[in-house]
Amino acid sequence: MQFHPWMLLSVGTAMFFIGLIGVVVRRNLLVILMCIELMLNAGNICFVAFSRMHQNLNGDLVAVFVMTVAAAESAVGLGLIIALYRTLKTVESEKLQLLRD
Amino acid sequence: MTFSCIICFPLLGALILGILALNESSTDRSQSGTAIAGTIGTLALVGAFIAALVSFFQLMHGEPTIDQTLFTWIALADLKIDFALRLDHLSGIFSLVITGVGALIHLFSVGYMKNDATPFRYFAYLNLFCFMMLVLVLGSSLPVVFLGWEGVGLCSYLLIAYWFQDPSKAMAGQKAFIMNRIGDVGFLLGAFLLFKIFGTFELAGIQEQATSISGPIVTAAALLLFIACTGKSAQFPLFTWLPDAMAGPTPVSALIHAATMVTSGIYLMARLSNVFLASPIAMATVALVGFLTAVIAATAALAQNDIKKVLAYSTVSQLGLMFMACGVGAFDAAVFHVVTHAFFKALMFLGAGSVIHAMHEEQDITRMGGLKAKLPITFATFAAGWLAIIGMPPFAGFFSKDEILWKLVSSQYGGWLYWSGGAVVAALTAIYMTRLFILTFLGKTRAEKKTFSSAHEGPWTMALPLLLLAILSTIGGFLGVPHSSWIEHWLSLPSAGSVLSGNLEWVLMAVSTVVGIGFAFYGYSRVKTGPEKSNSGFLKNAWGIDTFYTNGVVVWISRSAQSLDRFFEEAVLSRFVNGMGTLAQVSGGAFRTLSSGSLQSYSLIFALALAVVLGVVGYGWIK
Amino acid sequence: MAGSSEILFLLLAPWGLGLALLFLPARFQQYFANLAAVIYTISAGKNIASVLFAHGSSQVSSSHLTIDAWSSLGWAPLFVLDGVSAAFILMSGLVALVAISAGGGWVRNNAKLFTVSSFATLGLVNGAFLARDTLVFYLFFEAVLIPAFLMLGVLGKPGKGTAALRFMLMSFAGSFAMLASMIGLGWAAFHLNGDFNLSIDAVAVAVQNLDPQLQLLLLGGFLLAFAVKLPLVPFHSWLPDTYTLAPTGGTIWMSSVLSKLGAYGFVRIVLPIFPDAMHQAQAPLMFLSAISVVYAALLAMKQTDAKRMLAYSSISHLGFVALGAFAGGTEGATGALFLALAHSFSSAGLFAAQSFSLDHGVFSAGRSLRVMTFLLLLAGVALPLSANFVGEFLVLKAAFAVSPFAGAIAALGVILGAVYMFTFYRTRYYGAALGSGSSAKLLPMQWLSLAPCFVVLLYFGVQPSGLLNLLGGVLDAALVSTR
Repeated sequence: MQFHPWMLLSVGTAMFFIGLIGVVVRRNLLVILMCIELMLNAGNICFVAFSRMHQNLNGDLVAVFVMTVAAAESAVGLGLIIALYRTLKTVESEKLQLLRD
Repeated sequence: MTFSCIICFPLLGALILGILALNESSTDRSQSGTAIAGTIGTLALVGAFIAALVSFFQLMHGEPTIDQTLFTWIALADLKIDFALRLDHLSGIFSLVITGVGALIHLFSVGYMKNDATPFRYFAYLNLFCFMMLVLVLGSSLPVVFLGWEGVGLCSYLLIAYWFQDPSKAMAGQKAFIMNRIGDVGFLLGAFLLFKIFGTFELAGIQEQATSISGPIVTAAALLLFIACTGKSAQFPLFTWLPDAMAGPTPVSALIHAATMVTSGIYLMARLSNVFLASPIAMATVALVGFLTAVIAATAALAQNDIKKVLAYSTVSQLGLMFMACGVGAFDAAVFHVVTHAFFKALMFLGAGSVIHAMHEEQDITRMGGLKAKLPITFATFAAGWLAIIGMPPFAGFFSKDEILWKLVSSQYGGWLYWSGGAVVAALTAIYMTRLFILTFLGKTRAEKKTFSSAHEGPWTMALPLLLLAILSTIGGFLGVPHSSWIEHWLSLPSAGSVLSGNLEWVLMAVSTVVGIGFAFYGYSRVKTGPEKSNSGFLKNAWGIDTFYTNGVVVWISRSAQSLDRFFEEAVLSRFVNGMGTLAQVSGGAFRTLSSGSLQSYSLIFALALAVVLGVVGYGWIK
Repeated sequence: MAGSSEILFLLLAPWGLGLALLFLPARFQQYFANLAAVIYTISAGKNIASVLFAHGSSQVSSSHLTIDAWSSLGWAPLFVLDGVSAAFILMSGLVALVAISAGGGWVRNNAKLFTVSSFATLGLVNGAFLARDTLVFYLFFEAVLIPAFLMLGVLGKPGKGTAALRFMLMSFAGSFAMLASMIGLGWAAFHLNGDFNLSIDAVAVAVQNLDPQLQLLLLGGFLLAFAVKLPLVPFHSWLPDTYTLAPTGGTIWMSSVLSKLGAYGFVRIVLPIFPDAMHQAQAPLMFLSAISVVYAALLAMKQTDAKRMLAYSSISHLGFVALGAFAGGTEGATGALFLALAHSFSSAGLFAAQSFSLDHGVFSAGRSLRVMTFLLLLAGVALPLSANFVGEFLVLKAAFAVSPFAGAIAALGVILGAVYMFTFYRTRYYGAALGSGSSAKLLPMQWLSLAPCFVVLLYFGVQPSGLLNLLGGVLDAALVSTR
């Protein structure tokens, strides 16, 4: 079966939007963090597909960078959630109302 | 030089008296004040009269006009309005009447206002009035005339409301001023329209050019000017201020409301006669309004019990007659009647003043009578005035009134209908004047014993003017004997042509004499037993017109201003502006919900915005 | 160049005087402020005379001042002193004298704030009257609101907060429209010659090339600002409360000077820039001003508070000014500005006079005060021989020539004006003559505020030609394109 870019790209797009909707809809901060990871990974898939399309390594290179940044960012995010949990005793996003009004 | 003295003397007098008046105390009633103030005021007018006489003689010796430009008043680019005076035949007559009768009235006031608290103020106002009136008749362009026009309105206000401590008198003064102002608007608009048509404000220029023009625009200008005349000369519908103006001192009524200010309308019409002659519609309107006024006022005079009010309505009625004359193009006759009317009406007002003075401020004729014996000079002079106004030959009113009646029928604009209207007015005049004369002077007195027994003639300052005016009322008519009328020849105002033969005039004169005598007898017969038991309210209130104004027009304007205030100003405007503020607040509140502090909604907005941006970019990219 | 130092003087002297007053104790504020006002007016007069009549009194010249400090940014504000600006500047100087002498509650409460605000206003209006650059004019036009706000918001009577807020917001709203129009004009100039130049001459040229609809739109922005400032019905709702609640001196500043900014700005800025658009918009605008005259007069009739009645009377007279300005042409514009100058003095005098006759809320007036009030009132009803009559005469004449019906409606204001003025006098002063204060004499400070008004009104009523030709000469040259 010949490789068509749209196979990978559609998977990536779908993953991205699932992640996006997850960020907007889900209330658990950890789940939101996971959905953010999902979006990042979706982007990675798309970059790999582009790399294959253009027959060079540029897309792969970007994917590696993204993975690195994603790792760092999830570390920071988890740290924030833990700090928040220590203050608010909850990980529900609706409870984050300190900046209201 | 002499010419400008005519107006300078009264102005100087007014200024000097005015400055002295600022310091006069209103509680110190020393009588020398009146003597000093009166002397200054009278001398100023006498000086003006002499100056007027000298200038008049200059005119008689052949000069057509005397012009003098005092200074440039309003000048801007092409517009140049000078404060310029012009003495010609018409204004010469008027200025003689104003200064002459004015001087006599000043003299009379010295005696009449002897006990007044603020004589300097009184004579200052009187002098100022004469100055303004002279500016009115001597002005050579419409703006200068307007200066005098408004000026006499102002002085009339000041003098009517002279005893302003009484609220009703103050109100009477205000009423006069406001009604005059309505006329003034007509004057201004008419002046602008005339400028638009003729390109000049100069009276002589307008008069010259008006002979060659006609059409609706001239009619409009003429009607606007007539509105001005209506206000100033107390014609329907702006006449109700005149009877109320009797609240002022009697000499004021004599000067302003008999001899001078109210004749300004006739002066204006005579001055711009060509404008009126160019518009038959305007002429007809003038004549009709004059007739209507004359009849309303004459019937009202029949029902008045206040001596001054009878004379006031009589003035309105006679003015109506003069306007009828103007309406048929007989401007010479109207001016002639102005002169004779000034004589006998001022005489009768001063006579009434003498009576009021003698009867200790009593003005109700139902409480008079039998004064013939007590006030012989007043009686005799008043009789001269009475005979003059009812048209008994050879008194002055006979000639002038008959001249008008003749012109009413003989002019190309007139007719028998107009003549009969005039005759009706003459008949009514005879009735009510006879009634007044009899109830005041003849028969048994109805006054209180004390008042009656102490009644006596005033001092010489009051008697002399009466005598002089009586002489003028007797012989003044010979200025205008038909077919050799000096005054008509002198004035030679543009007028309408005649369509009837002159001999008919003598016949009509005889007829009107008989009519006059007849109706005088009728009046005598009705009244010789004493005053009527009750007076019809309708006539007494001049057909309810004044009530209509006070309770109708004024209240309507007042109410609409009130509702304008409440429903538009407050509701619409204020609430609109406040509503803007509320709108800002509410919309702000609506937008506030966006910053809810909730992470979810922030990220949703983020995502939506991202989608929009991507869409736009992608759209542009695809295109 | 020659004459620019005089302009600098006019711009800066009031600030210097205000600064000096800051250091004086409150007791002496009124006297020294009056002295400062007199000195300023006399020196301003001398400076102006030396500039205008530099070549003899038969030929009136002008001078200008360009500030080059910011020319690298492309902005070089231009100030011009000519006949018209001179007349208004001198008028403000005299009004300063009247306002400060008029006393009022501020003398007891916060004299320093009032006098310093007065001189700040003087400095700012001088800037506005001298500006020949739309941006500069806008700056001063807006800045003047600050001292006015202080006078009303701090020194006013209860209710001042709402009134001040409404005053400021409405003025800002109008000015914002003007700002938008100005930016539009700048872009037009930019399109024409690549230079975002807001000076009046440059902008006037640029506007000619615009689409007529666009011209009308830009005109509308300016009109909105001046309609709120003048004011014109229906943008006047800020005025009655503002004039009534401000202290008398503040009201005099507002009615005599601030409202004239609107008239001045319109005649000197809008008319030269938008001749074609004005031709189109002329008739409805004239009707609007005629309605403004009659509407305000009717409302004035129903007021029981003397100051509020005078406030509506102000709106009515300014409607006449607007009528003349909209009628255009040399006669209309000159008549409008002349009437504006005359009205400054008549309304200042009347506001002062009515404040003198209120003693602890009861009306009482001595003979001198009654006479002076009556004389000022006669000017208010435009009796011939008062300056107001000359202005109204010219305005009505010009208006009648363009639109007779609008002129006729406005002339009704003449009648109504007499009604409310005379009722005011009759109900207050005739009664006051019998009251307890009927023999009171006027204080010297009170004479100082009433006499200049009367003298100016009488002099220019009898001899207006000098001033008329001074104004007319400048306006004639500027308005050539409107004819």
